[in-house]
Amino acid sequence: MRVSRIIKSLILCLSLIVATMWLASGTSSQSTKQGQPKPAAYNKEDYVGSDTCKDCHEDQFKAFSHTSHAQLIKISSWKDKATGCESCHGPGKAHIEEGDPKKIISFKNKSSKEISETCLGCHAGREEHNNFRRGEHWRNDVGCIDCHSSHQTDTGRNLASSNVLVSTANAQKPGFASIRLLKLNEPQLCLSCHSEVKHQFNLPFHHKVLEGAMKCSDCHNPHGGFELKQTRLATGADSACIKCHADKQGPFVYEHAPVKTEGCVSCHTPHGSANPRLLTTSRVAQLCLTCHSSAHDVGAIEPAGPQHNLNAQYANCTNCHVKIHGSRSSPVFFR
Amino acid sequence: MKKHGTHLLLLLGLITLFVATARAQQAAPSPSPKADGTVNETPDAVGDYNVVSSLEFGYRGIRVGGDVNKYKSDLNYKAGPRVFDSSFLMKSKDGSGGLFDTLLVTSTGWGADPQGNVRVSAENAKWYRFEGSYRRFKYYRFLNNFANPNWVFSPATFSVAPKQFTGEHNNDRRMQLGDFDLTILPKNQTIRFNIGFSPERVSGVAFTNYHSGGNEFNLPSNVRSRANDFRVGADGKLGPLDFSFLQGFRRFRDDGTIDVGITPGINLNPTVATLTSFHRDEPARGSVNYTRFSLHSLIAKKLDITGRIVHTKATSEFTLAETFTGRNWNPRVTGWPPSPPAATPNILNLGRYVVTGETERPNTLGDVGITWLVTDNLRISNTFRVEDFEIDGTAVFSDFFSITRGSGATLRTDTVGFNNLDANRTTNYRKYQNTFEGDYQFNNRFAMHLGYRYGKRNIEESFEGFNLGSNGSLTPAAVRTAEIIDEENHTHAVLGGFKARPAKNWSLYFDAEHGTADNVFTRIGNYDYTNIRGKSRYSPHKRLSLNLAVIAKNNANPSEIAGVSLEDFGVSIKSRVFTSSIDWTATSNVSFNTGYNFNWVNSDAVVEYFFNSVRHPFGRSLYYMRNHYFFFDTVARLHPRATLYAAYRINKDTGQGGRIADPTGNPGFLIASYPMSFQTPEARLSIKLSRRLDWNVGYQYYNYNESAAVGPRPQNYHSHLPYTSLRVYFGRRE
Repeated sequence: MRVSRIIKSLILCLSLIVATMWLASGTSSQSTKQGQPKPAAYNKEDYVGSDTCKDCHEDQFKAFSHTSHAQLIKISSWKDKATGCESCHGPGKAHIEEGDPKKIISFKNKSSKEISETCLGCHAGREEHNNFRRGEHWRNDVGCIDCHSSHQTDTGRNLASSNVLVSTANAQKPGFASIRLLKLNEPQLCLSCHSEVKHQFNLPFHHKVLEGAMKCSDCHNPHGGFELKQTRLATGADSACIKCHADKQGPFVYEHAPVKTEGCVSCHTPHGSANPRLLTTSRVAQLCLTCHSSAHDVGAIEPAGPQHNLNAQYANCTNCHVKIHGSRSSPVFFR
Repeated sequence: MKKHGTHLLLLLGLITLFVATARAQQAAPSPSPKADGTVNETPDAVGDYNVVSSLEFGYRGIRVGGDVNKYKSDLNYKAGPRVFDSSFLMKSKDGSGGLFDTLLVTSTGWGADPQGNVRVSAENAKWYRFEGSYRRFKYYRFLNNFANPNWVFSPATFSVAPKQFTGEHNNDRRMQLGDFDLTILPKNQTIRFNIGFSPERVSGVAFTNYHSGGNEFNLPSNVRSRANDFRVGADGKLGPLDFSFLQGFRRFRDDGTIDVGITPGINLNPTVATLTSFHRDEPARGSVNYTRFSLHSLIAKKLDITGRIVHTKATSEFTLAETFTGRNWNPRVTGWPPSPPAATPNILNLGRYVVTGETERPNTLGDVGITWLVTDNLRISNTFRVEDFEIDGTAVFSDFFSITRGSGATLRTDTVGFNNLDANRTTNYRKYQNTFEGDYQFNNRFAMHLGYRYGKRNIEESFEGFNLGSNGSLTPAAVRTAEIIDEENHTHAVLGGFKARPAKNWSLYFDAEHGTADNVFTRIGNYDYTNIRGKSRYSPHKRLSLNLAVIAKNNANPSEIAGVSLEDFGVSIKSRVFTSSIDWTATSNVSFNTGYNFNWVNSDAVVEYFFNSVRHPFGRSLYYMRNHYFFFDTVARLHPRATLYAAYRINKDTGQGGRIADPTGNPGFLIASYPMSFQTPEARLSIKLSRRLDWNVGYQYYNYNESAAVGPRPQNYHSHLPYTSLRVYFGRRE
């Protein structure tokens, strides 16, 4: 009943939002005509086509022509809309006729957010990008072109590099980055700012990101999201970890409540650790006791004596409580 | 056979890439040497495609000294042939190909590595985009540390000598994962269709533990589980609305079993209990059906609105059948029937548990995000979330025991059992969270943001039925009980920060957050936390980049809950991270990359624990990390035909330093840390034999040392990994 009530409420809210959007759609089209040029406001006479740009900007044209951006002109749904150079730089007729660099949109002196707005003109509608305007990168003024090159990226160099790690030397490895127009291959690109996590991927236990078996974007959505740390969701509403660690998904008759309510990071450090199983502390008992100490009746169930005596086979809680993420048949996670 | 199959696939892959290479070579243009001997080349051509690719394969040797099991747990690189980091890229010359405009295949780790992956990305901008990945991991764990059941704080305080060479949760498993996603009409503005499939397979052996008769038993279990995730959906544009819909289905099955013979218990006391047989089947089936629908619109170029609703329904059902036999059944447990008095040895003729059950977990998540672009410089946004789930699990228990033991001069056999005792556990969870924030762009050099987050959570756990304890209840007869626990908390947090650009090539980032976290179950109350992060990126020119970052996090829990002061029951966790790095391309022939990271953690919690059967109600649990990480990479072109890569990386954690735990004191304190050092120098020399071919020779060394504080026997090891390889190029660019 609770769930169905929630669903009904959410559907009602969404319906109201949709209705508002529909009502506002007229306003939207009007303001577009008055606003700056964008694909939807295509006025054919003001546009000269990318081939004209080529005459002066040959290198950029050559690089751009190999990107998927350049293919839009062949797609029917883009017919009668600005494509090519002018889709971002605006109509070029005045610029061509007067030779005035101010008559074309240039991004040289624009802020990250202003530049991103241009990209979002087309890309905001993708589910992946829906929250960019509320994401961590946006908040910290990191824009699209800090990671992407709207023109084609350099095809890179083949350099000697590590034989086990995705090292800096092969950050520009040919082809790796070109698919998403990224400036660098993904681990290096992310680590160039988030260098604080690099050491974690070099600890004895770590997710195999530097080995190339995983990518940062497998778990995080760099374009923002509703989740903290911009993590992705797996199979609907579960945490990103569940995508690969399906055996932890349950549901179990007896679930260890924090797994679902607090998330895996309550006990694990996801990037890497010297502690086996990526645990936040080196001794399991101390990790468990942090919550399972119910002095004043305010903690989780405390381990009763005398068997929980931290000696020998009892020193490690998960020796007996083996199914600590959840058990189908044991309320204390014994099997 | 399986191994042969893998090798065969590997061989086929190599042949395919070689064929592609050969074709590429046929149309190769002639390179034009430059004055310094290097060559700038255009990509090789195959028909309408340009090819840029490299394929590296070779052989690696290995010699490991010290604790081989720890080496295998950490690294597990083996000697043998290996496909090193390879890639294959085909791009249509004019940007518009036939079957695909772009095809990219990247792969690494096949052969003698514990992890391998291959990723494929193909696109025809008009018709489709395909992205696929297959990853394989070999997990090996055999550790002599806290994961070992016989690890002790101090062997002197324990009456039974630790078994240093057994590990409780050792495993040797293989995991295979895949993600295959196809987008039809990827550039179509009106509608795009998505189809996806993600399989997961886990198999191998993993030790588990069984608690029976007052003793623990290491049992090897055959792990065998699989999950298949199917997805279909569409996204596109309908008037001013961008919509996205996804329907997913995951099916999960666990067919793991345990089947062992005579199994000695961990406790080596003379009264040891022994299992003479143990068998468990616990087939479980699970399903997760999930639906996601989201809408987005930008109204009047001023109001960005996104709404998303996700509904998931997860279900699982299982049947557990467990039988075992043994000897010396612990009298404490087998205090039945009331007479005659317990005697040993006991012979457990049969112990049997049968448990069936099912669980349902509906989960709904709703989010709405609104950003108002007030002016070109000011944005205000609000993000609201509501989450609700219920876990409803029911199990029905039956058991049966038959024990033969001495009764005077004769033996007698007793049996006991019960059927159909049910237990129902329910968890209800509801969360509301709202974040309100704004950001202002003063000019191109300075922007700042400020926000406030409120959260409310309610969690209710209830139980009704027979509480059967750890292994099922024998005597006294299980009693039907009911209980409800309800917790609710409210959290508040403020957040803010700025980005500044003091100079054209210098960016400063700062953000901070202060408030209460909603960790309802981690010490019930809210953590008062303060997180501060500052970063600096300075690139005086394109060839040089300097990065600095400082991150500080304080989490404390001195708060009050239900009118009870937690001053003497608090938790304080503090961490500090300092990071620095320099990327310098000194010349076109030499580049350096180096950095230092310091990670400092202090965790202090008041805990209640038992040690040697003595209760310590106000003990302390301390955890320390003092990790220093340094790395240095360089690439140098020593000669037009020779390139050298050299690197050194070290993590060194001094942990608790000279601090020693005192678990017997009053109040007593426990100390944990993981003092160790892990370093790896590496070098690789690439000799250019021809435009198409490099010969590589390399060497890597690993050295791992841990302090005695980690365990009674440090698991130190060192390993030498020399290798040689050939790299074949297509469309090489110097």
